[in-house]
Amino acid sequence: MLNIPILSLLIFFPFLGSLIILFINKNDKSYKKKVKEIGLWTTIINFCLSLILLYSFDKTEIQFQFVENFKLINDLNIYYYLGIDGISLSFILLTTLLIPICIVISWTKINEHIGYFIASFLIIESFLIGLFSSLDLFIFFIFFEGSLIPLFLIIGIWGGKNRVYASYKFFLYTIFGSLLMLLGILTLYFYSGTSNLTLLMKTDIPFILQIWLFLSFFASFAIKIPMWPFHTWLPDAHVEAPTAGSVILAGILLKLGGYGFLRFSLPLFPEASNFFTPLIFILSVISIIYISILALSQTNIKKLIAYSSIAHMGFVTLGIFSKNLEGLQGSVFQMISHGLISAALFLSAGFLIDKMQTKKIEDFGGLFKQMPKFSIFFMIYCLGAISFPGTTGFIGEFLILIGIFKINYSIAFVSAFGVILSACYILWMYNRVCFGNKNYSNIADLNIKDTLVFLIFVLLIIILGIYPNILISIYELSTNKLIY
Amino acid sequence: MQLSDIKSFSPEIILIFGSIFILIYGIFFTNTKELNKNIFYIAFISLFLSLYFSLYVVDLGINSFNNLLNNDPYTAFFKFLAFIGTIVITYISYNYLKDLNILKPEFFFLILLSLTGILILISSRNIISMYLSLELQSVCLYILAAYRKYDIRSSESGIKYFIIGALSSGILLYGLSIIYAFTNATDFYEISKSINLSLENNENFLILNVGFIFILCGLFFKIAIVPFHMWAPDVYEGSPTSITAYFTTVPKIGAIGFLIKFLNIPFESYSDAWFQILYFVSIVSMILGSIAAVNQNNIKRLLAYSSINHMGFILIGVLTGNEIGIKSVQLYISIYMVSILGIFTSLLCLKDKINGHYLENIKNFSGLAKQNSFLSFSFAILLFSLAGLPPLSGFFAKLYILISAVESKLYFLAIIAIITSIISAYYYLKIIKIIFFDKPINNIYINIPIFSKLIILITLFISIFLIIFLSDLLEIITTVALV
Repeated sequence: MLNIPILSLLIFFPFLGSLIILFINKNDKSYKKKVKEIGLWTTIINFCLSLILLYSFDKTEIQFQFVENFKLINDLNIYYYLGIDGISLSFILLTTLLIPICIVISWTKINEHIGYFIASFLIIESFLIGLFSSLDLFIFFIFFEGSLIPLFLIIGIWGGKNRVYASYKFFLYTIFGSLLMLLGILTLYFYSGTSNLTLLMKTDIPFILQIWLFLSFFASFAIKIPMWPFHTWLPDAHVEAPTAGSVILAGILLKLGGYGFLRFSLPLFPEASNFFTPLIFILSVISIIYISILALSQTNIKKLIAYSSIAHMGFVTLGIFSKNLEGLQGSVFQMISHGLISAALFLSAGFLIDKMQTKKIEDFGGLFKQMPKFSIFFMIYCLGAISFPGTTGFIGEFLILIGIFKINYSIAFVSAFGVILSACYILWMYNRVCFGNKNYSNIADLNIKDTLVFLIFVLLIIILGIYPNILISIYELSTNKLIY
Repeated sequence: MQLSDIKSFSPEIILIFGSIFILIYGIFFTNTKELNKNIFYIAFISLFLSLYFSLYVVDLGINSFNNLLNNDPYTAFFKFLAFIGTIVITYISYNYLKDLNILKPEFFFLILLSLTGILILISSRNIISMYLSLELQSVCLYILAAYRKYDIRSSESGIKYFIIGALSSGILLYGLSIIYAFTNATDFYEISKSINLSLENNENFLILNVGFIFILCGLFFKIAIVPFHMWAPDVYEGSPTSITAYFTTVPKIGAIGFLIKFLNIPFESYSDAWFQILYFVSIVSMILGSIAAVNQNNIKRLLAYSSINHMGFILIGVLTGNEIGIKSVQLYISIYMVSILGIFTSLLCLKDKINGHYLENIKNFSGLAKQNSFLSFSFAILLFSLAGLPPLSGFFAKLYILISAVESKLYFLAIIAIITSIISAYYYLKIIKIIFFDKPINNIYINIPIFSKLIILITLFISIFLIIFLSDLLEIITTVALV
C-alpha cells in the first residue's frame, strides 16, 4: 500500500492542470500549443499515476483500499471518504486511458476556445475519478452532477448544427434524474443518520422505504445508462457532440448508471432490487430488441452507434440484476469492453466525418480501397461490437447470457436475439461504409499519430478478448462480495 | 436614553450623520468632478466605520432604547451581510452612475439612509420601531427606483413601487394596530406572552388572524413573493441597474432576517397558522418564479423572477422553523447575495458599442465568450451556481434547504423545489448558451474597473471553493443562530 493519498492526487491533479490553463496569457503566440501540451501531459501523468494505483492494488483484499477519510462538513456528518475496490479501479483505469486519447484526437480539430476545451476535459476527468472512488453519498453526488457542467459545455460549444437542442436535452434529462436521487440520498441520510456507504450497507432499511429509495436512485441511473424509455437524450447528444465528447460520453459517462446500480442500488436496497428485477429485465429486453431494430433503420452513422450503445447497455442491466456471479462479472466486463469498443467506434466515425464532411451512411462507400489501414481497424472494432469471439465484446455478452440462462430461459432466449440483431446492423453499416465501388479523390489514410491511437484500442480489445483474466482478476472479489 | 443606548446605536448614528453630511457638502461645493469623488469617499468611510462599529463596538445581547431595539449575534450576522452588499453596490453604482452622468450626492444619501432603515429593521423588537424602520428604508427605495428621472421607465417604476408600497404599508400598519388592540402590547415578547395567555383561555382568534395576515402581507410585499410580487419585475427593469442589484439583495436580507425573528418571537405559539401560509406562498413563489422567467429576455426582469423563485426556496427554510431550517436560510441568503453581486458587477462591465447603453437584453450577449473570456467565465460559474450545480456554492445552499425540508418531512415541498430548480436551470442555461454557443456579434464594449475585477474574482472564488470552508461558515452561522 502507498503512503501518499493517491486517490486525492488522481482527483486534484487534472483540476490543478485546468487552473493553470485558465491563468495562461491568451495573447501569447504559442497559447494554443501550450494549452494542449499542458492538457496532454497532465492527463498522461495521471494515467501513469493510475498505473501505480493498479500496481499497488491488492487483488486479494476484499475491503476498500487506499481509504482516505476526514470530515468535510462538521454538523452534517459528511465525510470526504474515498476508497476503491476492483470495480472502481477498472473504471478509473478506463477514464485515465480515454481522456488523453480524447485530447490527442482533438489536437488539430478544435480551434475555438481551446483553453476551455482542454480545461473541460481535465475537470471532467477529476470529477469522474472522484465519482468512482467516493464512498460517501454526498461526495458521490457532488462528483456525479458536477460532471454535467463540462459535458454540457463540450456538446454546446464544439458540437454540430443542432448542438443547443442536444445539450439542453442532455442537461435537463440528467439533472432531473440526479435531483431525484438527491432527494433519495437525503431521505436515506435522515433515516440512517449517515451517508457513509460502508455503514449504510450494514443498516436494515424497511421494505417500503427501500422501494422509494430504489426508485429515486433508479431515476438517475436509468437515465444515465440509458435504459428504454429514458434513452432519447442519448442519440441527440452523440450526434451533435464533437468526436472527443462522444468518446467520453459513450466510453465512460454511460457506465455511471451501471456503476451506480452495482455500487448503490444492489447493496443498499437488496429487497427492492429483487422486487424490481422483473421490471428491469423487461425494460432491458425492450432496450435490446427495440433499440436494435431502431438502429437498423438509422441513416446517420453516429446515431447508429449511439443506438447500438443503448442496446449493449441493456445487456449490462440484465447482467447486474441477474445477481449471480457470471452475470455480475460479465456486466462489469461488458461495461469496460463497451467503453473501449464504442469509444473506438465513435473515434472511427469522427475520423470519417472529418474526412468526408458528412454523417450519412449512404454517402460513404468503397473506403476499403482508399483507406485500407482504417478499414481494417474499423473492422476489428465492428467485430468487437457484434461480440465476435476473440474480442472483449464476446466475453462480456457471453458471461451475461450465461448468467441470465441460470435464472430465466425466456429472457435469455429473447435477449440472445439482440446479439444477432447487433451483427445485422453493425455489419450492414460496415458493408455500406467500407465496401462498394465509390471513388474519392484526396482521401488520406490514417497518419502515424492516428494509427497509434487506433492501435491502442485494437490491442486492448484483442488482448482482453483472448485473455480476459487480466481484467476479471482485478474486480473478481468485489463482484463476488455483492452476492455473498 | 443612556450611554449604552448610544453605543449600541452607533453604527446607525454614523450612517445618519454621514448621509446628512453628504447632503450638506453637496449644497456648498459645486465642482462636480471633485464633489463626486469626495462624496464617494465620505460614503465609503462612513460605511466602513459603521461596519467597524457594528462589529467591534456594539455590545451584543443588549436591549436599547427601552427594548425598542436589541442586538444579538443573529442580527449582527444579517447586518454584516447588508453592509457587504451595500459596500459593493455603492462601488459599482459610483462607476455606473458617473458613466450615465447622473451621479448626485442624493444618491449616496439615499443609499446610506435606506441601509440605516434596514439595520434598524433587523434589530427591532418592537412593532413601532419595526414599522418606522420599514418606512424609512421603503421611502428611500421609492426614490432610488425613480433615480433616472429623465428615463420614463425609471419614473414609472418609481411611481409603481411607491403606490403599491404605500398600499402595503397601510395594510401592514392596519395589521399592527389590530395586533396592538388584541394584545395591548408593542414589544415582541409581551405580544408573545399575551398570545400565550389567550391561547390558554381559548379566546376567539379571528381578529388576531386578520391582523397577523395583514402584517404578513406587508412583509411579503417587501420581499416580493407571490402573490405580492407584481411590482417586482417592472420595478427591477425600470430602475438603474446598480439599484436593481441593491433591490435584489440588501432589502431582502433585512426583510428575511426580520421575518424569521418576527415569526419566531411574538408569534412562536402561533406557528400552525403561519406554517400553512408560508407553505402555500413558498410553493407558488417557486413555481411562478421559475416558469415566468423562462421567456424573459431582459436580464433584470429575468433576475427579478429568479429572485422570486429563490425567495420561495428561502421560505422553505423559514417555515420549518427549526434550527437547521434557519441555518439553511442564513447560508442560502449569503450565497445568493454573493452570486447576485457577482452577476451584477459583471453585467455593469458590458456596454453596447453602438449606442453606448448598458446591456440588458440577453440576446446582445451573444458570443461574449469570444470577446472576453474572464467575464464569460464569471457569468458561467455564477449562473451555474445559481442553478444549483455541484460543486459550486449554490448547490450547498439548495442542499441545506432540501435537508431542512426532508428533516421536517416536507417531501412535497422538496419535490416542488427540485422541479422548479430544474426549470430555473433552463433559463440560467439560456444565458450561458447565448454567451458561449451563439455567434458573436462583436458589438460589446467591455470595461472592467480594477475593483470590479476584484469583486468578481472574490465572488468566483467563493462560488468555486466554498466546499473547502463550508464547515467554518456553518460554524459561524451556528453561533449566530437565533436564540
